Amino acid sequence: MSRILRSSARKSQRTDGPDEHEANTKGEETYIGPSFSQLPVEVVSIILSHLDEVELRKISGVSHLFRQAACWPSVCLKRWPTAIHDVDDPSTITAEEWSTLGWLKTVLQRRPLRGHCLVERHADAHDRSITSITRHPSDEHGLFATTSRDGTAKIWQLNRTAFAWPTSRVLFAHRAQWRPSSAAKAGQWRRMERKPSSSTRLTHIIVGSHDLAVFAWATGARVRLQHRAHGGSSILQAVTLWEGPHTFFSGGGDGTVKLWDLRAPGLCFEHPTGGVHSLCPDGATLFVGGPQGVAAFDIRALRSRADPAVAAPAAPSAIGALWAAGGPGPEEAGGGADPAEGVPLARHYGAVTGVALSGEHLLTGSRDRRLRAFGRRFPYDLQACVPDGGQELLALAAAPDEGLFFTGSQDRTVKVWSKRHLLGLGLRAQQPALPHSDHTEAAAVLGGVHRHIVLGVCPVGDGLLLSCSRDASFAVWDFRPALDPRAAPAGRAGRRAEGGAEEDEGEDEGEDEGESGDDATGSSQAASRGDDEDDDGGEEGDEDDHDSEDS
Amino acid sequence: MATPAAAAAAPAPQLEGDIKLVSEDAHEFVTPKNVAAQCKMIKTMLEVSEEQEFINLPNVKGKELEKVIEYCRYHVQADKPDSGVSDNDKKTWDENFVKVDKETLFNLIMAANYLDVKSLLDLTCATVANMLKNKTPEEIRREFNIKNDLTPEEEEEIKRESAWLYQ
Repeated sequence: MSRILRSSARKSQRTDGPDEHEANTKGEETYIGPSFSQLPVEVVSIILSHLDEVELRKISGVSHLFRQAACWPSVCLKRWPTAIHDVDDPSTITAEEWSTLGWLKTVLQRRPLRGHCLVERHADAHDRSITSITRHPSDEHGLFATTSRDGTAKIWQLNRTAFAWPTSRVLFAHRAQWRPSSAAKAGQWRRMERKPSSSTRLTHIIVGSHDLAVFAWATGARVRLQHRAHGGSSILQAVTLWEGPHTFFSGGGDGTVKLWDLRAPGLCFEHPTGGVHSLCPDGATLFVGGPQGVAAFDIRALRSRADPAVAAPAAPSAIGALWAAGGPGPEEAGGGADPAEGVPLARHYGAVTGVALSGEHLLTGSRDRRLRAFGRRFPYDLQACVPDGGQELLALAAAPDEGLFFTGSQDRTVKVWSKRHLLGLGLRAQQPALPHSDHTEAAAVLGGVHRHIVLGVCPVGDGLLLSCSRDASFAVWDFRPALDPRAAPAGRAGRRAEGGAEEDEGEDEGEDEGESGDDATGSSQAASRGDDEDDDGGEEGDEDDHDSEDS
Repeated sequence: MATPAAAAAAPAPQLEGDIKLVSEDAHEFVTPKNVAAQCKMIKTMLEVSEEQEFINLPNVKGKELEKVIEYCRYHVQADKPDSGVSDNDKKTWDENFVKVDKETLFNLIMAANYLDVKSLLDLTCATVANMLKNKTPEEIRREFNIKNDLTPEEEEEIKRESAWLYQ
């Protein structure tokens, strides 16, 4: 601070000339002590967050620092979400108020919050794209895991030391050498899900690509391996726990959903669906996001599967489609929408890549560039549908309690959303044709780190968020400062870029260019083909073809 | 690595005894650890190494450190359930606490930011925000010795954006 004060004094002497205070009132003593210029912009933004919109707008004309701080997300976010929510009837908002809100929102979108990234790992994380990221069920240990198309799954630990914010280190890495046909497609591990249990020794992580494996979090030891879990060439698309620590659902490229029990040797149950990109069960219903939309299945009858004493497979009628939303209408599907299996209620216009439950709502993220919120119970009414800045959504996760959820999208950013705000917006964009717009209603946009599409997001306790990208990088974000101006980022000075990102930039970008072309042109095809991978259809599809030939 | 069960069973570190805080200008303050731990930064340091006897705070001067400790000590006492201090009392105390000159106020903001005392940071920031209200940009520049580094074009843009404010 002394350095700052001295520089302040020097600055004061230097700038105390005619250019600065010529217009100063005569006889008034000029204040030369520490002032705003010595404060970080985040702190100035906290000061400004105590002002109302009109004051804020006026004050942004003081200097660059004020202008920057007035645009700082913590200020904007404190203002406009409440401003919208506090108005019962939006038609009563005056033109001036809209003008202010619009200005702040525009500013918000212009400023991706790179400053809130605590850890970013690039070249030394994985060799190829990171397809998923998830955390240990307990926040105590700072453990999380990544899976990659380079054939490895790695378990990481955040080091929360006193002065520098987290660094991360690899605890375990697994190469998929155990795969039966490991030559061409070794371990393109796609999805994983953490598996909570009462002790670390029994806490497992489920990972899979063509095969499905279960590892212990603590030691990295493999405890279960299921070869070709979804048929010869099908890759695991989604995995999720259900009803306790032993049973989990997997969804594969073969379009089936399978139920597994770690205590039983084989498969417990399987059921065909139209395709699986994401899974989300609660006690009674399994929501399946796929190329055609979302389907809900009644899985109450499967509960007996959790009991290993019941050896007989459940009857096919044990799982029934309650609802298939967003698929072809009855006429388009050639009568495929059997009334007995439910009637499509709301359409998706692209593959549903993320399904999450948040309180009484079911959230879906889709490649049709929209986020939707449905009621969680029958009749699953569509309550909100908003566009996300013209970007396809590739990952979705909900925070357990805060009413927040997170998306990863094509524009290389991670977005934080307020469910309340989303519901307040209503059915803004359910019509088939979506006007192209960069506008997003997200509460915060976290960007500037990933150089390719974001494939996975995972909230961690304590206001942290993990994200991973196709550029083989992952990041740990502290998103709360963006939402609450009082929660200043912890140890921003300790944020560090690791892993020699710079050296590998050229190589990464070269790869990016080729693949992004694929994404830009192939995405709509992927959605319409319905049998493609959710993120990188072309390349994966090719390899799958080879696999079929091999076998 | 500890198991979650073991971690849950492990008692939270007890902050007992005193710690010596040394300011930038070598002033020493012996403070109960539970008071010092109101500063999140110090709390983290205490948790990492419980044995240390003093903590150097190279970014805070003695005058501000004394104020910060005063603030923390009051709030530790006042926040006890049996303290009998009402919210109104606390508010009044806070208001009196920040009745200081501008220089001290800004130094307090910097100290609160460095030591990570959120409530104090918020209090001092709100105080400065009150000083900004109902003033024109020119008055603010003059009062806080801020150089106008906006170009004429930027000033014009701001005026255009905010035209309705001045009608």
